[in-house]
Amino acid sequence: MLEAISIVKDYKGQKALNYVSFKVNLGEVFCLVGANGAGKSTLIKLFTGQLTPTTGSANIDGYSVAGDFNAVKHKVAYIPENLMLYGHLNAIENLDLFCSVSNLKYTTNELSLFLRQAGLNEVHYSKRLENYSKGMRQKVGIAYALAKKAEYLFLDEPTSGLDPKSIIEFSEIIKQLSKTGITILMTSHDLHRSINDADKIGIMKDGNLLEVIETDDYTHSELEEKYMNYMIN
Amino acid sequence: MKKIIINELKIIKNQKIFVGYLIAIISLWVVATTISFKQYKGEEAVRNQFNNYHRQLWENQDPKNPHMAAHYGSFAFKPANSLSIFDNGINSYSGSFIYLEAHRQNDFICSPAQNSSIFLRLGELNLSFLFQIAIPLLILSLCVGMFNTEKSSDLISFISVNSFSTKKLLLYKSYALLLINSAIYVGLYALTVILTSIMGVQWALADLLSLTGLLFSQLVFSYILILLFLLIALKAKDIKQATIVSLSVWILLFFILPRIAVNVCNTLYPLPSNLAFKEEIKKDIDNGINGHGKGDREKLVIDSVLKANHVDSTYKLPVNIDGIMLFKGEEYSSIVYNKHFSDLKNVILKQQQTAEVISLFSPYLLIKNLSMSICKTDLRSEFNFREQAENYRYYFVQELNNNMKLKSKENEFNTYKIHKSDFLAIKDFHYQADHFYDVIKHSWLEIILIMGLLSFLLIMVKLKA
Repeated sequence: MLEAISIVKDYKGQKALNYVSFKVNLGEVFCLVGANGAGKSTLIKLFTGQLTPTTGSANIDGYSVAGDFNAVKHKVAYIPENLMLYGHLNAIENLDLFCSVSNLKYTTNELSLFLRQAGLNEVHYSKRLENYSKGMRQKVGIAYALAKKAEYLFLDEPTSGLDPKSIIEFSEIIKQLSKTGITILMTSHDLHRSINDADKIGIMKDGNLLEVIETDDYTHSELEEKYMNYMIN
Repeated sequence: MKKIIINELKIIKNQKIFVGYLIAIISLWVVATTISFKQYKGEEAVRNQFNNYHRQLWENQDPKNPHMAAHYGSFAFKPANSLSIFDNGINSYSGSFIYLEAHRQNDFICSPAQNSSIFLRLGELNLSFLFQIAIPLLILSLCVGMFNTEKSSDLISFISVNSFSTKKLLLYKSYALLLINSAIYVGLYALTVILTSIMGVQWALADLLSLTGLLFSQLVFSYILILLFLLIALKAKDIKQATIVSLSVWILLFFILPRIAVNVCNTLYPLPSNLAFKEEIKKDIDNGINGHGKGDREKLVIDSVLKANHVDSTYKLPVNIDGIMLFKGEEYSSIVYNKHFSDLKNVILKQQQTAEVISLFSPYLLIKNLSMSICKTDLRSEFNFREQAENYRYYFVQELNNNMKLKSKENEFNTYKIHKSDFLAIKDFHYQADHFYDVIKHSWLEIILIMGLLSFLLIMVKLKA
């Protein structure tokens, strides 16, 4: 389980997060939405050990990330917004490299299987990643999460900059991952995709988590209205 | 680890600057080796030509009084030192031979060009310049861009969250750079030895052992720089900032600190001028026994000799009193000279110790000192040579004085002459350079400091990366 407990994060005297608390149960997809500077990416960075909270705690399976990230690191996979990986290597080589440094030993066939599960077309496996689109690079990142058998996946703005076809493909992948029991915490600007992809949505504004809603209880238009009300007021 | 290091090697190979790096190194090596080799050959030619020439002149000189022969003089030549191809050290300034003559102890020239324990000369393009200054600058140029791929694409956060820490990433990059530099250093060392061997340079087993020690020191030195510049590149916001900071650090370590060290040493332990040094010696000698003198002090010596031999006239002595006086005069002037030389040496050694402390902050100073020590072209080797030359001068002058004392009589100065067999009996000068283990024994502080600096940087990587 992921748990944010009264997290406060100060950046040079300014509050990036203001007593944020929420829980994400196992296998759930939780999407944080909000304008730029709302604190979404800061939360992802706190759960992935890239930042430490000023007060409060980001916990994974009961372990405080700031205190003992290494205890849960093997369960975590993180895909940043502009993931490039190594451009001079192809998908298989990139996956092989990251698996081997994580002490994961797979054959080329097994690596190909992970790429296939991540939705990457086989014709691209031998192409250098410098020729990949953002969506394709993300799929390689997801393949690594699958290879790592990650239990928690953190995605920062995974759909920004993707074309509509790639966004739909990405939604499918999220659903597939969720079915396998992976808990996902992601950020997004896209309300419509979020309601499709996530089980819960957390609406953020100026470092505050305003409300957590169950996506089953809302239609697209209801969510949009709620969101706009928060943003205007 | 193997795969990530191979990947880092590919990244380095793909850097646009890498080809330029290799071309620059090879071009500089060709020029530096040519210059170093020519310098060595030039010194060797002078040594071979004049050492034999002067020995022949000595052996074949006309019969003459022993003391005239002592003033005819001799030369002490430094033997060929193939290691000087790798680091000529202070040889360019100290010369390769010394003229030796009765009553004239060889001067330790106290010109500004020689009064520093560091003897920094950055203008010469030779192999030590290539290995100690040029390649580090090229290492810097490679290091500043080493995190470019990771930083420009969020890859660094992907790696640090999903796989390994940035500390490990830095270490993997440092291993890759060390591998490349090791290949370059080993290759260039081997090529230099092979090429110079073909061109007639003799490499003894002991020289190759010294070169191995030098190579190892250079690799430790280059790894220190790799860690330092990678740490800067990791912490810098972007490649521009990394370049500016790294270049500033390079200028500080390679130009400013060495000059500060020289100035601090000269201020704390000033050396006398050449003139003052000579005058002090002359004053002390004038106050003592002069082999040619007829003053009160000399009379006291003559009286003591007469008393010891139970005679009342120098003509009744079994030996020539002139020979005894010259012997005593030489003995006294040597004591005076050795005392002043020892004082001077102590000042220079204090300068050197101070420079060693300052060199803790500059790996360049450390490797410069260590390299000159290993190549036996440092100040200690120069002292060693001058002391042996002075001992030889004392030996050959006193041999001649003894000959005069035992084989001639008083007032035979113009008639008593020695011949070729006597000249042949005076052995030629043979310089005994330090062995490699002596060098290591005397360079323990530099070795500890350079290893300490490496440990410090590894700790910094652990704490800051």
